[in-house]
Amino acid sequence: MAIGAKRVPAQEASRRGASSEEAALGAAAPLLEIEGLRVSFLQYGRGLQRRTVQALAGVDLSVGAGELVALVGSSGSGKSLLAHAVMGLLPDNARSSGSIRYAGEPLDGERLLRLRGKELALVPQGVTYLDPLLRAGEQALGRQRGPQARSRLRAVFSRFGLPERAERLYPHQLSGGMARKVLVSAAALGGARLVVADEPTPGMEAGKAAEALQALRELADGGCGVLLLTHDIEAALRVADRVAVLYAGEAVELAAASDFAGAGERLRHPYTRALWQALPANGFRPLPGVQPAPEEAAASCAFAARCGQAAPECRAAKPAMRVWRGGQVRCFKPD
Amino acid sequence: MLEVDKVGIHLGGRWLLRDMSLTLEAGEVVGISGDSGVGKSTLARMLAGHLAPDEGEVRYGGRPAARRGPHPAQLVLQHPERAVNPRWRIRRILAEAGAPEPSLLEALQIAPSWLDRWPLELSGGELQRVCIARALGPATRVLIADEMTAMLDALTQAGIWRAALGVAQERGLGVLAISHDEALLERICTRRLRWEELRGDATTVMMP
Amino acid sequence: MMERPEMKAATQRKAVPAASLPSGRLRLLVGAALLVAALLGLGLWASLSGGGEGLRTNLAERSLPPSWGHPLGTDWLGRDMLVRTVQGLWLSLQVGLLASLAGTAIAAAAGLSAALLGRTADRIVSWLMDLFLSLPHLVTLILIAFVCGGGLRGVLIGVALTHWPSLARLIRAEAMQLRSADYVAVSRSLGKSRVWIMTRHLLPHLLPQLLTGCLLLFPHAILHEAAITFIGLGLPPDQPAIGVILSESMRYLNAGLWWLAVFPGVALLLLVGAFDRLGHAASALLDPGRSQQ
Repeated sequence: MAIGAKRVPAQEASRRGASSEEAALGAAAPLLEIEGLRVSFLQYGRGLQRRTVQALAGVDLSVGAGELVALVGSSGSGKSLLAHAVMGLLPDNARSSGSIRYAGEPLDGERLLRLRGKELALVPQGVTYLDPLLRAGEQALGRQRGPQARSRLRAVFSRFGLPERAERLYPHQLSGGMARKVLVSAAALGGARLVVADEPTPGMEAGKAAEALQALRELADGGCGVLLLTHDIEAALRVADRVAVLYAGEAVELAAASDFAGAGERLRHPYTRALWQALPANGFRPLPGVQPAPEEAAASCAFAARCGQAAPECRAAKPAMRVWRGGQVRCFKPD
Repeated sequence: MLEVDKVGIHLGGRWLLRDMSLTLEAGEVVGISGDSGVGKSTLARMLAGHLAPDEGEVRYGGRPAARRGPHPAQLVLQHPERAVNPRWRIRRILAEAGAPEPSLLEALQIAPSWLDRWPLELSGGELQRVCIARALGPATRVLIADEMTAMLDALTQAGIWRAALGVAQERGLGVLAISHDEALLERICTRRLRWEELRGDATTVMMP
Repeated sequence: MMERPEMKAATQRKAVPAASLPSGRLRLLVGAALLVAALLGLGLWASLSGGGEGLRTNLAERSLPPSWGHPLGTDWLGRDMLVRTVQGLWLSLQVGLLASLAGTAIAAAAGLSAALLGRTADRIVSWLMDLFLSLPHLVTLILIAFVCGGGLRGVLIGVALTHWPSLARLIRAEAMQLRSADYVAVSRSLGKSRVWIMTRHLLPHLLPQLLTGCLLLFPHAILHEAAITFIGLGLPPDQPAIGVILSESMRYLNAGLWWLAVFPGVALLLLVGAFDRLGHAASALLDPGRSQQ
């Protein structure tokens, strides 16, 4: 099967050099394919009010081996739910539909249980997932023991830039950046082929955040598929090959990281461009209005209300995701 | 407007920060960046009167903050959902700082329809606007923003900062912005300080 | 270590029943309402049938097994066990209610003063809590009841004094957490007084905890009342609470009069279980942090 063929660990240069066309379409053998993923859950308000909240309303993306794909969405947009859906960790009050395939086959039931924690690894949002009573080295090794495992541990730690003394530190002695790297190391040592990293850098000072992200990049360069979920588009662009942009629970654009340049001319969706231009370094331009809840925009383009180019058709129907200029976009009139 | 004179604060025999000095003039937007865990948030809380300094003095307009009444420096934190009582409606949350001026709500783009909702029913960005409106009561002279938009997307961040800076400029408030985001501070600040520069009395050192 | 989120999800899954139809909360509420109605009915019946037929000694009908005339049988004096059980439960209910209310009041006072009155108060209260928690309830209860000379007063004081620490600890922790909440700090910096913050921010948050705590204390109180009465230090035989009935029945168990102990025992279990569920239902309804359940 083509899936098994690992991409050769790419050097930074050759990775960036790959044609944006090829990268954006995910030409590398897809390890993870998500199609039309929708997640909703029941929630209680006060007392007896109960409502269904649509969190994800259509997410399509794929992650190839050796590739780092970032899913960018504002906080509370359901990114964590996506991670949990892939890992089969959705709470009982959540309902999901759509297809999630790993290495070409549906990822569910028995197979998911078998792969989770081994080939599939989650780098969770909180460093509180580290066991406070275990030294970092033991955390990363999991159940592996013995001198061989030790030397592998040393190799992985040094690859992710963790000093040797870090092995003997307890979680409370680790900085945020180091704790992230320990989590990533654990994924690497566990033999993960697909790693989903949920918001690995919030509140981290720039240098530390870059280190944590670099560890993920290393993982991808070693042949893993990495899905990075973040609200920080700048952080994502620093390491990602491709970027999927989430708006109102839908993936609205899938672009190569290199498309984010200049004034955003190469971007396809007006929201992505607005997001790019709102960065402090790129104009700091706000956009009136707010993201609607997915259920408020069930029958129209979710961005129509804030879009400068919206036509009547944009308010009458929901555009489908389509291939456009080497990427994908959910828009009737893409640029 | 705000003078911080060699303040220190300790917890259980350990100094969290010490010998910190800083001045902030009306109309200034001063940005502070530094490694995480050095005490930026502790300083922010102290300046807003949430914590009392164990040594040194903080003066607002030449004298210490009055013991009663609203504190002249108000703090806006990273997580708005923790800064509001989850059992209060937005209207009541805003009213805690006195009835808000309609013009303030308008400047911060707080829709009247939000007022009857619960905090849970607003997004992080919307709730943060509410927190800023609450912090900008008539008695406020200094706005302290501790990672105020770190959890928000770029568009929301730009909108919130533009609105907050607009109000601050109009009223001649001082703004102290603490952030790990260099590009953001570069964009919004009139003056920038690195953490190390707060030590001793090197408060007049300017960024090149 | 990578399995941790999985384990977390698994435990959550067990603790939280699936959101089923109709709403789980609605079911809980209806259940609780039915329970309260049943209890009121019980009390009404008990007070109406107080001096009635059922309790009269009737030696012609003594020691009868359950039948249509006497659904729960009769005892060695020919008294109807159904009437006795209901009356016993009603009495236990009243004792339990009083004791758990008193326990909740002590817990609230102790927890709040530990959290809000400074370090010395905290140390004293915490020491007391540890002291009471380290002794088995029953031993303390027996001691207190003994000192108070038995009877209703002894039971009430004993149960109230032994049952406050766990709730007090909860209230203390909650109040401390609330006290350091960001919005309380903001409130202080907006110039609000201690009392204002206490009544507007803290108490409304703690009331549900107290109510839930009281409800959850209730079954304990009844059980311990029954236990201490059973061993003869609680209510006197002329106040036939459920413990008295059970204790008297024991003497006749080996004579084959099983219904004397079984039905009152089961009734007690049902009552206790029902209040336990009511307490959990109340905490789910009142806690905004459990919106997913």
